Amino acid sequence: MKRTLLLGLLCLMAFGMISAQNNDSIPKTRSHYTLAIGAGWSHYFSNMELVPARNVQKDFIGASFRFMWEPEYRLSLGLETGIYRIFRVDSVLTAEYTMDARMYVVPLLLVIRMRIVDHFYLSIAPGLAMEFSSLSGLGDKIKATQFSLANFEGTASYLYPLNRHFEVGGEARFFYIGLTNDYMMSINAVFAVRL
Amino acid sequence: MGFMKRYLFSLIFIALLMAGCNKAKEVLVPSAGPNSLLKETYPLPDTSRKMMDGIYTVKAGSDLFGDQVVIKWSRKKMSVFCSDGHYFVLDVGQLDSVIMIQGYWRYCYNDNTGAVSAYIAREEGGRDIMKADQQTGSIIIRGGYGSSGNEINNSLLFVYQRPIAPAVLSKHFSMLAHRSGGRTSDHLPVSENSIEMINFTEGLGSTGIEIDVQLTSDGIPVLYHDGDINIRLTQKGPISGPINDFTYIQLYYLVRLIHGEHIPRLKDALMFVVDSTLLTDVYLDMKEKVPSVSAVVPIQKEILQRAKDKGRDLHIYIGLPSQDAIDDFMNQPDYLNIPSLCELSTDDVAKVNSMVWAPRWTLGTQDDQVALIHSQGRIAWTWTLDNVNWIQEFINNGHFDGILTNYPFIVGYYHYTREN
Repeated sequence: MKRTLLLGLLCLMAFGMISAQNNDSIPKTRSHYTLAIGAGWSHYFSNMELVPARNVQKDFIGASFRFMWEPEYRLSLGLETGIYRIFRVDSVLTAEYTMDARMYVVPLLLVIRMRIVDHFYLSIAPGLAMEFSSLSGLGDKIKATQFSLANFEGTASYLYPLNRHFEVGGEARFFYIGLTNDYMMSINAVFAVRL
Repeated sequence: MGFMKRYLFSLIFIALLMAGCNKAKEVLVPSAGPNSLLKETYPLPDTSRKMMDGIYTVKAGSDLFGDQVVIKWSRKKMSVFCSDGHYFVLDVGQLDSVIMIQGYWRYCYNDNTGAVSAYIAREEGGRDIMKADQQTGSIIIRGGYGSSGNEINNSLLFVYQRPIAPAVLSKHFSMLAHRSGGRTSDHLPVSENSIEMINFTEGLGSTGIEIDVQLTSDGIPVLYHDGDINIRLTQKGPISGPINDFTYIQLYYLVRLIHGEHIPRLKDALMFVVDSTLLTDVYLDMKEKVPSVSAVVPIQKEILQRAKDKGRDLHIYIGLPSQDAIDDFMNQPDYLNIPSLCELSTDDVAKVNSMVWAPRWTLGTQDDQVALIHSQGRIAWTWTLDNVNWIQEFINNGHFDGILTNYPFIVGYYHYTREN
């Protein structure tokens, strides 16, 4: 909770440092909503210390979904979710025991995004995340769902408008999950629709 | 570009801050390593150790450790208890009646620590200690201590003042250490609720332990505090989630406590208490998510019998922290004869015939209630008391028979300096 509050304050401070939009070289656009879908490669920065975790698979396909309100100014707000597999650990522990542990994460983030130059955006996004883990081997299959309250995402995006309604581009994100101290990044192709 | 720079700096700052929020896990125990003075010495016999126990005046080092300290031997270590939360854990050996002392000091409320190296010269008590045929009146401990790493750069001088009062030593006062001997969050070198902690805790002054009992999905009681497998208590691994969902074999292979230990089975931990320690009291704090009393009672019975067979004075109490726990307990056959500890009212204590009444310390010294419990032939402990001033108040003005604490060395100081 303390970390969430601290992050909230820092986000406010970060945007407080950014000047108002005097002398803005970027033409203002009309307020609109955008729905974006992304898919691509995700990578888990493994920090596991435990011996069975040597065989950690870290690279997967992930997807993101984002709904943004984009006013005529540089800053925009939105909600983002997605699904990422964080890791899979598939190990032979002994002659008798094998194990297969997996974890997925579904974040729900408040996105605060800023257009830096034409078509290029940076965003930060604090929020919640649900972690879905499963373990098979060593007995019955076990599934667990946990909520992580203190999570953070930073994203850099490039979106090129195809026409008045559609944009395509790419984005790179770094995502931190507080509950389990996990870090991941993803690079996604993005398709966006202006509503 | 100015906007972008500031934006990027902000992001980097936040990311660094988040990385900085991660828990520190370094263990702060200075060690003499291979250059230890003790490697050429011989262990002291028990009779000599007992002669060193007592109250000492601090002639050098009082800025940090106060004017007076208690020295008390446990099974393997010589400990020094100070009035404010400083303590020493020391190894001792002798060579030609010179007593060599080496170890470290710690302050319990932060990470301050340092190495300690000292000796007792032959003429300054070493010979008397080794003869061990009479109470000495002149033990002088000379040496030094450091304030970081293994360096020794401050003088230390303790002068024997008096023995611990016989009335205090003969009284059974329990100094119970929390979470099998100490908390992981206090940066101890071993993890809470581990067999390694049980092995370590007597050096902190504990005479008993409280351990947290959870039940695995296959019905095996294990030691663990939190409801979840998490990075606060365990090394980062491939599983997380409620501990009660996992079998013992899964926990054994896939979880390590923060310093690398296994989560122990209750039975293994209690066997260790009987076979390898001098601890006299064990308080089983039953975590309530999964009722576990029926799984614990047979283990308690077996271990108490083992202790009896070995001539050990050991008491193991099943903790009853709530009405649900009492209801579960009363479903056990012959529950009136199962040693238990009740945290609720004195009426509840009588109802389940608990040997120990254990109210929380914030309810005060409750002298009338404690007197009532004593009149029934029972004992009273209070928990979890860590504040120096309140420990002093409870020991000097209360009538409890034991205190559960994270800092048994503070309780030890105020208990052993009592006149009677």
